[in-house]
Amino acid sequence: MYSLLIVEDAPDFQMMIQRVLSGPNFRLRCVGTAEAAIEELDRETFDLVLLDIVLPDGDGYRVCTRMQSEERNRNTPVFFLTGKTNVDEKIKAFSLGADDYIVKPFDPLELKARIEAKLAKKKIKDSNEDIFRKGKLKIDLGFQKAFQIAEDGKENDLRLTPAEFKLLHYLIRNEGKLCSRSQLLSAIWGQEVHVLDHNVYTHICALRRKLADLAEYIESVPRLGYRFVVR
Amino acid sequence: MRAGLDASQIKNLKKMSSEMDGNLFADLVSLFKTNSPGHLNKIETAIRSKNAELLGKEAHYLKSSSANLGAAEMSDVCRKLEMIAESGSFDDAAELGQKLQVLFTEACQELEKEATSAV
Repeated sequence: MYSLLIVEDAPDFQMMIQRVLSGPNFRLRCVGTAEAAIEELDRETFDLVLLDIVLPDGDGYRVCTRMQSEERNRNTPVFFLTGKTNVDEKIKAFSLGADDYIVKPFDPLELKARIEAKLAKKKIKDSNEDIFRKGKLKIDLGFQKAFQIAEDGKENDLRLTPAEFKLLHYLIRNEGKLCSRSQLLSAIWGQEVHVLDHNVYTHICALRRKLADLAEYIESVPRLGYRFVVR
Repeated sequence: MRAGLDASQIKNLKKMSSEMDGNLFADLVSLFKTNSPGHLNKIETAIRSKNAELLGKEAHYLKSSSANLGAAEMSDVCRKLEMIAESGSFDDAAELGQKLQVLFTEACQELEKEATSAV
């Protein structure tokens, strides 16, 4: 599931976006001012931000500039959604870090397709990077470490064992997909080593304990296995 | 189509609405009818008081909302008012403001008919 921040003051465009992106793949947070957007971005990291330029308390450029100045939001894709059609505005938006610029009125289905394409590419890019974020987790493949990111941005090393780290990384790489116990066994310990099925359960329990508040990221599917989901 | 409406935009929106939940177009028309009068009043106030900032903001808002529902002529008048706000020269503003009110009434009538008719 992807989390999207929609910064749009017009209720009709908010309604269109919410309808077209309704469903299990997206979790939407809608706000109507630049100030509310900044508050949301301080509180949570989103997978993508849809940003109107003309807002009641300023402009979307301020929000975009702020995002670019913060390590936690710098890599979040920004789509400007605006009634401003002139080239100068488009150039300004892209120079501030926009990933797309969509002029109103727009086709909601095209907007959805653009968002999905961007998120799919981001997912591939993230999984190929040595250091990436997933919800409130930061994964460092180079050092084989996982960190929990606190509200104030501080990183707390979860001190995972090599097997726990492998398990977590495998689940993240297969985000949203069900991973069976046998799949996890062979992925973490290999088929050569004799390990009991119960070992997966033991390691999942240990991993969840270390994840603490983020333990909900690992969902159990009774009798079938586990799934990594950020809600 | 009367009231300066863009038939192709309306057709696309209705088609998409039927592919989604079926109510989107009617809900958008309803929102447009409810929300626009407040913005039209602010435009009128802005023209009377020659408040360029307010005029620019409100005209920009209605430009997008009306274009979204295919009210092309209304959107075009808003665009002209937005340009007036940028230039600061209010010469034709009063006339355009009156035209906008008339176009809004006509657009609402036509859009209501569209909302109750099939794709």
